[in-house]
Amino acid sequence: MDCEQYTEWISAALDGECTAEERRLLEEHLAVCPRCAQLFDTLSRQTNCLRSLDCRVPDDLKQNIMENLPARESAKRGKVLSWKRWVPAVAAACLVLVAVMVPGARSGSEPAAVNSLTAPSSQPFAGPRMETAADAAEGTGSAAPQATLTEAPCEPEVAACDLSNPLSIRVSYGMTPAAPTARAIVSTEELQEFLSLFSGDDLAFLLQRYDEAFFAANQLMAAVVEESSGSVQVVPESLTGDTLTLRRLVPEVGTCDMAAWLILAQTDCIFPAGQELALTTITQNV
Amino acid sequence: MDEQQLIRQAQSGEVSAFEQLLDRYQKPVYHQALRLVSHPEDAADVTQEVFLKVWKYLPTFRGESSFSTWLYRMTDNAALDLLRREKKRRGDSSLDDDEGMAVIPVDPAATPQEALERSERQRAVSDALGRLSEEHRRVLVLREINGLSYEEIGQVLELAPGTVKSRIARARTALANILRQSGNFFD
Repeated sequence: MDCEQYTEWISAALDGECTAEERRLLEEHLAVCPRCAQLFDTLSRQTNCLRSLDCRVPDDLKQNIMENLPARESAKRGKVLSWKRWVPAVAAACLVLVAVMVPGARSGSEPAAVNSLTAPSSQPFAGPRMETAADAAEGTGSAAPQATLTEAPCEPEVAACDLSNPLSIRVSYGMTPAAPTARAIVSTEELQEFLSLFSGDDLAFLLQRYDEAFFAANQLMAAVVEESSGSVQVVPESLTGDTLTLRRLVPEVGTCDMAAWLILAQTDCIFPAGQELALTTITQNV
Repeated sequence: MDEQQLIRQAQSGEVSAFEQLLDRYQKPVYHQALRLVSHPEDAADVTQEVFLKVWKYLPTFRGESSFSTWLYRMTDNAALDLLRREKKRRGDSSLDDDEGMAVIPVDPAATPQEALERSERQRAVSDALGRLSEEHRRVLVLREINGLSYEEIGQVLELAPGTVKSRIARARTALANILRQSGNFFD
């Protein structure tokens, strides 16, 4: 055994990275080899000195970093083959349920807070009535920021789907399907099954709103997202191919409460039952 | 707050979560950079570049390695890039060669930094560290400045732990030689 191996063990011993056996052999050797014993001493002091080195971070470094962060745009318009509107003629509007999770314990017996929701109707959903997440949250239905349900610009390979009648429902945080997630819902059975996953809220009223007649002519887009602040509004932005884009409206000052949202919207695209959608977001500071 | 939570929040665009990550990691990143590139201004540039990358690429960070591994690897890369740019600019090729040559002068006018290296020994060690080859310096900095284990260092530098072990031993020996040559003895 030459001293190079012992040198490596000396070094490893300084880091506590020796096996017990190596340590034992090393100590035996150090007892009889003055050169290695000296080396151990030297490297040990050198190491302690190195570890005592400190630095002083420049005072303005953090500010420089924070001030130079670019706006982050994360929405992507994917080049995905579009789901063609292959059901002929029907101006189907799919209800896109965008679930936005709102924090706060909610007892199971209370209906979820869906402000400004019109009374459930047994008639198929007719006509565009834009209900923004802001409306839903504030219960005013007034001049809150409009949901930007615009059609995605058409790229040759990808057709955008219409999204209309968006609805945002605060649901109990932590008692929903795993967020973030989005899917298409094509029947009342599917909707029922989906709603049963929201164990903290009574969402049965949605079954009245989106009933058999509705699904005869429409499909639903449903997304579940979580935010760390209830002040962040999330609205559907567009549906292109099998990607749903949501827009997050982030106020400068917000509350610090965990939020979960169920976001819904109608769409005229047709999806197979249980179709999972990719989800992307755009963040906008408001 | 749990780091995983912070990362998730920062990933979804929460500036305050990003800021908290910055608070936690600004110093280790800066210190690592400083010991690699020697000049405080360069170290600040490297740090800024690294956190800009974090901001940009955190949404796609999948957590296959730990966040700190990812961070220190970016710092290592950014510092190397800077050193190479400097090397190109100066047109000298001695950066990786004989250790002990004063290729990277430690800036004597860096007052706030110097104030911290109160003892002669610390100054000598700091200076000697700057004279190590890139390969030795990178591995020793991760061990002594960032305090990473051999396994973690292996992940950052993409080396087997065994290689890390032997490389650190050689780096320490090389450092001892530089110190001896410059008249500083730990003997």
